[in-house]
Amino acid sequence: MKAFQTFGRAQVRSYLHRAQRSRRKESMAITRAFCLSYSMPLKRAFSTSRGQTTTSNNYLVVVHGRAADGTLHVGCGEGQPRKTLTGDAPRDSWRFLTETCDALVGQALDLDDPSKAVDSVRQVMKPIRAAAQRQVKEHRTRPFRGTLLGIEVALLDLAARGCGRTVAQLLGQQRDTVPVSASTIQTRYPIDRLGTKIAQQMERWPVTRLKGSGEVDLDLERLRVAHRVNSSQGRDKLAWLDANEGMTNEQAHDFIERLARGMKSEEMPARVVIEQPVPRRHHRFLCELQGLADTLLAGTSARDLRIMPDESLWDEKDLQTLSRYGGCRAINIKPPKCGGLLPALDLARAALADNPDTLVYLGGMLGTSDLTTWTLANLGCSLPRLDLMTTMPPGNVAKRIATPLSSYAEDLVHLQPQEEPGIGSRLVLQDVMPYVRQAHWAPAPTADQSRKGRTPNSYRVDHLSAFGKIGLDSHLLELEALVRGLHTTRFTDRDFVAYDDGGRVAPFQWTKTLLNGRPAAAITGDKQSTKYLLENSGVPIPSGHSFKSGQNQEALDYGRRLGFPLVVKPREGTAGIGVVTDIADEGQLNWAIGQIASSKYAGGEFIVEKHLDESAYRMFVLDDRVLSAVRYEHGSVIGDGISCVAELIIQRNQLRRRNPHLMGRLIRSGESTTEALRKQDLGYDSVPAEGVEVLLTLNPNFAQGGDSVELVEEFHPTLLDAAVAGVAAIPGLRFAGVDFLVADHTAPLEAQAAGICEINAHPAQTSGEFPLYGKRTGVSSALVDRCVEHHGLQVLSPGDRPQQLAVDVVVRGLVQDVGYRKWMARRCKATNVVGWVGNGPDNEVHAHLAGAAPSVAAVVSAAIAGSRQARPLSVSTHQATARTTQRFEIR
Amino acid sequence: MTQENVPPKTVDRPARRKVADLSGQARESVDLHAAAMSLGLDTTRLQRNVILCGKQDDMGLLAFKGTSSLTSSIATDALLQDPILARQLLESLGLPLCQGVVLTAAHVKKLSTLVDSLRFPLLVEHGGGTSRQPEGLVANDASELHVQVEGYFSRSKGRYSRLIVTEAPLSERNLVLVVGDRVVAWCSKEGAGERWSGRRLAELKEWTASTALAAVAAVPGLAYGGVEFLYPSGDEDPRIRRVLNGPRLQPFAQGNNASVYREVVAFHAELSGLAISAERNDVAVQARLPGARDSAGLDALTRRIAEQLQISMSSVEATPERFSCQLSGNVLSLSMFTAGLMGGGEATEPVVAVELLHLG
Repeated sequence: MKAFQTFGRAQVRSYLHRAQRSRRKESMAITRAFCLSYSMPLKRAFSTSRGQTTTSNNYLVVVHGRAADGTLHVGCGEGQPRKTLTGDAPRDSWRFLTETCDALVGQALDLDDPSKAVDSVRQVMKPIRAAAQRQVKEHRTRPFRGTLLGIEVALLDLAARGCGRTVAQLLGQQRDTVPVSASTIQTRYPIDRLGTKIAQQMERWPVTRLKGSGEVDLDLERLRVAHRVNSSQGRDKLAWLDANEGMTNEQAHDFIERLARGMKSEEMPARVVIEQPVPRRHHRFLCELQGLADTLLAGTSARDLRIMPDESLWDEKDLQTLSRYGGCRAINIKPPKCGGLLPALDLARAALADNPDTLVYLGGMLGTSDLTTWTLANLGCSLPRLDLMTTMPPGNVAKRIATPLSSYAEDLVHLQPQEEPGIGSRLVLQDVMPYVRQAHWAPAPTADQSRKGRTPNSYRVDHLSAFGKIGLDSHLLELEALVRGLHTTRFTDRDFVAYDDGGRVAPFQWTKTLLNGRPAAAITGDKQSTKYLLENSGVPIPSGHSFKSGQNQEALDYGRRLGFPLVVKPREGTAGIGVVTDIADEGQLNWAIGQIASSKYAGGEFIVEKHLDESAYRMFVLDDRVLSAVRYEHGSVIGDGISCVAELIIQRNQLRRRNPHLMGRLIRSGESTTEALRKQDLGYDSVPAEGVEVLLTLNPNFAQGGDSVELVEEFHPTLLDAAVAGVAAIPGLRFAGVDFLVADHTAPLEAQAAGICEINAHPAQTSGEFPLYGKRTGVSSALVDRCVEHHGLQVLSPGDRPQQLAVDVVVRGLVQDVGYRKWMARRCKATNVVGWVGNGPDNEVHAHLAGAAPSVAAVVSAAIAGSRQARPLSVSTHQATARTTQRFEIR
Repeated sequence: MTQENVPPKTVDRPARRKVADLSGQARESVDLHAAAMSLGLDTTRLQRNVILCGKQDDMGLLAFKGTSSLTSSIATDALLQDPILARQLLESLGLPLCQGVVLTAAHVKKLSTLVDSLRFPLLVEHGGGTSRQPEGLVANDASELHVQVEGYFSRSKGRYSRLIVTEAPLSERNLVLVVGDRVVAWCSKEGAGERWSGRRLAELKEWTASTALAAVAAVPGLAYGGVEFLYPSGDEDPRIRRVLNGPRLQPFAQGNNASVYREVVAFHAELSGLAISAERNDVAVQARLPGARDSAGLDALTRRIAEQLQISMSSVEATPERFSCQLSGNVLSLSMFTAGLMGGGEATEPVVAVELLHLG
């Protein structure tokens, strides 16, 4: 309810209900809406004067509408929240979007004719824009423009589909295709290579667009090179410099003067556009620059120098401000700044009404999908004038998530919108699935997430999200060391030492500890040696034998005698590479042996053994105790009769994202999942009936989407004894992960077929720490306890261990002048850690941190990575007394 | 008469010749295995480099991987194998290390300043284990150093890509072997590219011996190890360059009459509560090859290897699931016999384990 008040959703709903009362007979009711926030990695990092971008965060808005004739239509829009560039503070804009989705359900669009459809979208958007505008006090810039774009495009797409027209037709189509003007040449091309790059673009693009460096001399030289290369080929191309607010007013003045002189003397291109040379707040100065350019080039009709506001021109309001100061002769329209296609259209119309000679540029943001390319192509076709456009089919994103893909027409210059209704493209949910970070449905999803009567566990993960798989395992051990009163020094994300006041040290590398001897690791790395020792100790194992590379016939004969089903695996393999299970016949056996020869284990020995078709358990054994027994289960979703399989998977992934062990092991639309669905005659678009379980994995493997269930308390003692005996059989092994195949974990060993198939001397403990179902076990805690006991470190007794930690931290390495303190402050504030951070002597960074133990330990463990440019060498953490403070500050 | 036709003077000569053909850990493992047998321990060779020792059917009491014992933890091993982590660990333990500096990619521009206080030649090593780069690269002047450092960081762009640059004077180096709380042997060499040669224990300086003992005692999870010292200049005390978990014992064995292999085995046997017997070079054992299937092939293979190593073989028992025989010969020959079976012939099945149990 509090959130309602935040953005005035109640008012939005009330307004929309009033609007509904005048519903026309040809209307479409919005029955369902959902939004996704996704993070798409870029293939190549993109650098501007503002910094480097490696991923792109966008929103997807999907609205379902049912027409009067019962036809279901789906509209989709992509929002582009770009922080200060679009007024979208990530948390707030996401909350705004989810509340808007809730408010949209039940609303209606008028589809009598295209103009009424557009009007009804305007009407629906009106209170939403008003609710956004009310946030103007909290946010410096105009709020949520990138988010509003996604909402509006989804509604326009839905309305257009309902009308059976394209969005361009709905908006008043002016042209059939839109030409792309230029491909921007980045600053990474030095002067000596710039000419070659410009020459490469000679035939294809009509305009030369350069990123500005912010240095006057260099930018002038870049323009001079552009002129020289283009004119040498007899081309009189427009030259366009995107300065990205990179100059001061004085520099910009000097730049324009020298540029104009160069243009007069024909050293520079005859037609030049300079985009946003000065910071965004300098509206007046931009107009003065335009005035200066016009004055300097007065009387030279063939010379044209235009100033194009970008960050200074968001919408009509900015246009009015610029007009007051004399205006500029070019405008830059970016729908994520305007907050939609309709405001963008309004801006263009107003600018041209002001000055019909205004040069109109339509652009977008980096890292968007084909949905946005199609959307801008539709808008481009509708603008009253279009001179320049740089939106292209997305080539730099890791995955294309829409179909059909946007592409050029035959001339490789024009984008031609599809003729099918809407924006001409639709979202492929299974392709975006792995990149979704947040999701929200209206109405809320009802799919059952419990399994066999067990409800899923939910963990606090915000402080753990920065760790990789190995880093998380190591962090959990450091947390346990710190709450025992030990000090630590961390060297990498996997290596740290813990020590007590007496200087006694316990080293940890990932989950390698003092407990296991080196030979034990060598033995368990060899599956045949492990089998030999287990068999000698009377521990059950699957029957099998090893073979040398090339002994295929012997292996086939042996396999035939042993009987199918079989397993083939490399003798010294890891990570499941080369392992083939459930081999049913000789053909499959031959293939399985052959695929080892093509893997990284080619030439090595391999094992053929009996396949036990039982449940697989990962058991964590420490000396004579089984700490945890996690069952691997097939990943699955349960239908709700409304959501398609892809939506159900996204919902399931949301659950996995709240589990530290599974957050990096999301369900993907890979071969395994697709094949599992195919076996059930389903696809990602299928809508399973309510209560129907759909299996998503061929093997119960966590990485492929399998679930983890902790069951140690239900295990039969004879099975626990067998696991302990298995570890004891390996000399020098005290802590291990045992992979046990068991038919019934509650039945005695002798009453069933069971066997240990593998022992891992340094297992990742997070599956035991964070099961999806079942009671959480303290694997890390027990492991650290045994390590400190083994080496005689003095630690706090269990009753004295604090919930809150206070530590002094010294970070060595390259940590000053690289944004390290800001990084630490941001991280501390996000996890409610108080204290301070400051530069210390010898190029060190010192900090005092206090707060909840998991939060403080997470900052400490992550401090070895630090900010992007930092290169810490070590992080030393000492227990301290908390100093009274309520906030975190940078000193 | 050619060299090859000269009959062996002692029974272990063929084995010794074959041992010399082995390299690295496999060679050390053979000598260590022979030492264990000579002290009356029953053994199982599991892999080329893994030996289990015990009594009769209880082989889980003592294990060696190469020359690393089960008393050396995998965590310590992992840290010591990485020269950068090892240095940071040893530094935090307060040990006297040779001068050096750890570099990241961001330090390249400041390289000259950072190494200003170091004296050439310098040793340049990267993190990730000494086995891949046993001696590092030597930079004799600033330009060589720049080439090596910049070259490394242009290839390695990972977040934890680091280099360590340490002083590497051309003067003498010492390597001291500590077993438990005793210095057992030491060896020296003149420079990085030279070979280690064993030295008499009496020649080792008191300071070096006590520092080596302190270093091994300070490193957690290290019951025995080698400590390498450098001499920065004539009048300074030596400095520790590195501490090795399970160092190669061959150099120590060459210069010292005492068998360092036996010292190591005896020490670990005592730690594990295993009784050892008086030293014997010739023994009779029962050899068992569990899990054997191709008994005919194994019969031929064992006979061939035994003949090459001049081991007498009798009471061969070959069943589909087990192959056993009685062997008598020199401990080194018997150790080589097990190593030879592990390699096997291409036509035979892999041998999983070779158990040697003392007879009588």
